[in-house]
Amino acid sequence: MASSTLTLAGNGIRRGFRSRSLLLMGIVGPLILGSVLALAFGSGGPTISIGLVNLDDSELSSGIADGLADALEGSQLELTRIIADDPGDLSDVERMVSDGEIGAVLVIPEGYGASVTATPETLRVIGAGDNAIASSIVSSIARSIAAGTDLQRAVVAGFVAAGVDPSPVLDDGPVEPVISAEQVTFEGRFDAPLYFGPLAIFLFLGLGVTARTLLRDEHDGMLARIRSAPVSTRDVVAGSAITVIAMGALASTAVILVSTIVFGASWGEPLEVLVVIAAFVVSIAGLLGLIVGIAATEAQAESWTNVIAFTFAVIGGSFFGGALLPGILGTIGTMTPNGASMRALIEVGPGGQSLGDVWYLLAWLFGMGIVGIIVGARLFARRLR
Amino acid sequence: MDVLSATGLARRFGERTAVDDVSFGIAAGETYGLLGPNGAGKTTTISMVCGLLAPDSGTVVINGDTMATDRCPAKTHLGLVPQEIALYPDLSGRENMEFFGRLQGLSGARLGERIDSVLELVGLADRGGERTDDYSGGMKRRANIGVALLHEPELLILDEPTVGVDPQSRNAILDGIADLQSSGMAVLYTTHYMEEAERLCDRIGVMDEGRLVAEGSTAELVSLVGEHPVLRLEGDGDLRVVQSRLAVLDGVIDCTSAEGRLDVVAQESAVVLGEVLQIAEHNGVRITAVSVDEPDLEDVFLHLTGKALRD
Ligand SMILES: Nc1ncnc2c1ncn2[C@@H]1O[C@H](COP(=O)(O)OP(=O)(O)O)[C@@H](O)[C@H]1O
Ligand SMILES: [Mg+2]
Repeated sequence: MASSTLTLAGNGIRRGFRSRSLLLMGIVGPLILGSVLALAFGSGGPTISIGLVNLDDSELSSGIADGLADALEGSQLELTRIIADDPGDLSDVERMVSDGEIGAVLVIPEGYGASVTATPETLRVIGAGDNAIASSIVSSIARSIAAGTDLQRAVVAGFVAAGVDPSPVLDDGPVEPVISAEQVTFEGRFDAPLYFGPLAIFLFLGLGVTARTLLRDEHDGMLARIRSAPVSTRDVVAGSAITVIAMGALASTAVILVSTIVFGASWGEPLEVLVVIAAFVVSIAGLLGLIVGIAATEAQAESWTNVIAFTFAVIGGSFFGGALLPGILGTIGTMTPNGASMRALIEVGPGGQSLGDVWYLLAWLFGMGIVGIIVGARLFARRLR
Repeated sequence: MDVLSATGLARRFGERTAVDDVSFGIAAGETYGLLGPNGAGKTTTISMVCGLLAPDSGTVVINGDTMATDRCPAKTHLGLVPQEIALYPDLSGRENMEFFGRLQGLSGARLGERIDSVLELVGLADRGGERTDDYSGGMKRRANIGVALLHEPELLILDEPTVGVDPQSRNAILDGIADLQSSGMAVLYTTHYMEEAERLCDRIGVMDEGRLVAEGSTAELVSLVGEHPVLRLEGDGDLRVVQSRLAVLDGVIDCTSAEGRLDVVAQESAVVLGEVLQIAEHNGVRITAVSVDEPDLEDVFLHLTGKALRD
């Protein structure tokens, strides 16, 4: 990297630290809003209601249902056992979920217990986009149960292959505990969405100010002076991108640390959270790069930034702890930088997924960022010619 | 060899030709002025000289290095003072200089020394630690020039550095630039104030509508108008009619009018004056002021372009 790029980035960061607007927008704002939301939901974070429909009358299945109820006793998750009137038609349950009466529902299908010695049956999760946390928690539960069942199936197959009767094992119920409270309740709480929502939007607005420095400098003769030194346009744009990403990373880290230490928030595994936040910051740097490249003036770039910030906040679920709008808007919402990052945080947090499982979200975020920065830089360079 | 040689510079913006086939050179220790009204193409020319804009055609060579728009050695030879105050308002004068000095490749003790001596030079030695938005207009202008001197460039380029400056600060700035000339630095200075060009520049290029219409020392340029004094008149009414009548008179060498002014160069000013007053009265023009002057660059510009230099 050219030393002039570092000089430019160093200067940008120095000025970022002095600017009260970034401190206010990137750090203080999200902390205040996040802690107010956390307070409103109580110290345990919001209660999440999930349901269970057991359509199977086997020992195994009732064991699973009882085990789950025991495990969730006294946790942040409120389990409702639903009796289906007609096992063939779960439309009532689907309606409960889509109406938001219940966050998400796990369905144990008929014949699930018998499937240990026969063809595997799949557990079903009924969820809705507007409750991403509940859906990913229930999916996580389903995966744990399925893993336990698969293990048991393998054991049974082993007995059969060895010519031994597997009945004693089957009578003992599942070989693995169905699910532990820690696995699904995430140490009792998960309030990252309360802080991340405001952080995402405030940071987008705050870093917008930093990104627009490029346009202001062009207007004020600053860029002329910079470019009259032995500095290429590439150095200038790279310096600006590094400034935006560094300021975003610093502000996010500050919000995560302060919310954790002062307000006792739980975000998840530090490394996983860090990677998701990095992807988020890069993605908004790309979006801001595009805006700066396309806008003719600083004022125009500012309007664009504000419009996009509030649109994305609404459709990406940042105002409602990750809840998405129904239908196509919800789908678009998961593609916004804030929506996709929230999704990834939930998946690796209470969803129990690994970073590898959410690779597509990370790839989307990093890809959006890198493409945005490159295209924005090209457009910006073209105007200087 | 010239420090700067610009050859055949041309640049269009869409349909508009901003600079058209401009060539000039500046030797070490020489101050060259680009004089022309707003929109003449001075900033565009300077932008091509500094490698900010790529010319459509033509080349710029500084100290033997060819200028380009990317990172190139030619840029280490020049210091640009933009038309705007190009200082970060939220940084101190010294911090601004640290940043721009580093971009020019200075660092460590050398950078510190250069900043100290430039702050001294522009009279900001005891104010270097203050944010530049706390500076007065004159201080900002001086700091703006100082930043361009950090790396001791062979060529200093100033784009209308006195616009919007009070007369006292303006004098200080012009004196400062005159001092720099004695250090052997080549200076390229643009302005639309003819007094500044006259006072500072060894040679002046007169620019209008993107073209260099004349070039030379003040004396050489003035001689284009003639040796005779200029009869200057101001009046209310249609001076153009008066001008066209006068132009055909015997003994009138040159006659131009613009914006309520009428300049007449004649063999014998005193003789012509009587006729001027007669023609004016005849055409309903009331003459409000009369003076006789040696011709200056204002007259040169009027003579060359038929337009007034002032905005
Ligand atoms: N970036 C640009 N895009 C379009 N037109 C421009 C641009 N820069 C300058 N011009 C036009 O080129 C002409 C010369 O401008 P400029 O070089 O700024 O003149 P000066 O510095 O002598 O006042 C003007 O007509 C101006 O409107
Ligand atoms: Mg100009």
